[in-house]
Amino acid sequence: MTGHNFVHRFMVVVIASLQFASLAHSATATANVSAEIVSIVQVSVDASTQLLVSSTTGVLVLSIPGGGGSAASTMTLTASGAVASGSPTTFTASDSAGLAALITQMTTSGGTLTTSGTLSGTGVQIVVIQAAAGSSEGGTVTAIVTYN
Amino acid sequence: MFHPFFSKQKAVALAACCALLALPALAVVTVTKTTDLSFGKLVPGTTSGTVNISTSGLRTPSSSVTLFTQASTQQAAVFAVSGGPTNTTCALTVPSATSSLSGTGAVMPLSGFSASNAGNSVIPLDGSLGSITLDGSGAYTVKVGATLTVGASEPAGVYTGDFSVTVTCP
Repeated sequence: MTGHNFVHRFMVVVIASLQFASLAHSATATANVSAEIVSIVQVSVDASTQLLVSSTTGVLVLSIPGGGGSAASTMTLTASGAVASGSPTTFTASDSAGLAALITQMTTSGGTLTTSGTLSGTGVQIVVIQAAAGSSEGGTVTAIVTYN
Repeated sequence: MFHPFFSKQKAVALAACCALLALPALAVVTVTKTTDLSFGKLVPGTTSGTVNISTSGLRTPSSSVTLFTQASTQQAAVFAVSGGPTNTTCALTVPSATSSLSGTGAVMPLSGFSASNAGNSVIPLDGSLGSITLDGSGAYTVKVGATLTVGASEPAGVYTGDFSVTVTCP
């Protein structure tokens, strides 16, 4: 190998390196995606009384028909085996969000074993009750729904 | 035979020197997932609906899907970009096609990906492409949100899937 040839090879190496440095480069990463569908039990729309129990984390969904007019629906809710302190709570709500908020407060504020209230108004379709976790997991929730 | 002024040893040393000089310019970008995307706990309705999770982790339901918040963890995906060329604009690619989550029931389509930076400033996407400008250390944080379509009366259980993002730098 002559010195000239070696220098020539060396230049090729340098040029190749510079060209490589100018190439676009990319990297990819993957994330996992998850969602948990919670089991529910719904009140049938034509029954006046039905037991609602969820075996997961206490999801209670009431499907309450609004009725064809201004007649109000009456709901009596009894919870047992949940948090055993505090005083009963009476709730009244004219919409599902309001009722859900009240019931959530009831079940997480720690106090109510038994409560009842009146759901008035129309158009209420679904109410989600989120029972407290922890000590209440072994309990049951019973709802009695009466349609006027 | 080598030229007296350009011996083989000197040539090798010079080549190594130039190679070292060239390396700093070859900033190899890397992307690392730091947080997975989670929609948390959802209550399906009698009709199909969607849940969008923003890049800040806020869930927004539509139709009959109800959010269940008790013991529910929801979060956007977070990716850490590092090692890239400093102060350089790079291309960000999020999924363009609909992927899905699989579980005990029907697959749930995942679409409508969105992206933001660490401060939740939106990264505009043209289709699946956006651009990010790496900072002075060649780093960037990308948050990704998406929309999940929940089927009517979707059976209970955990549904999983995945998606990838790619960063391409000049």
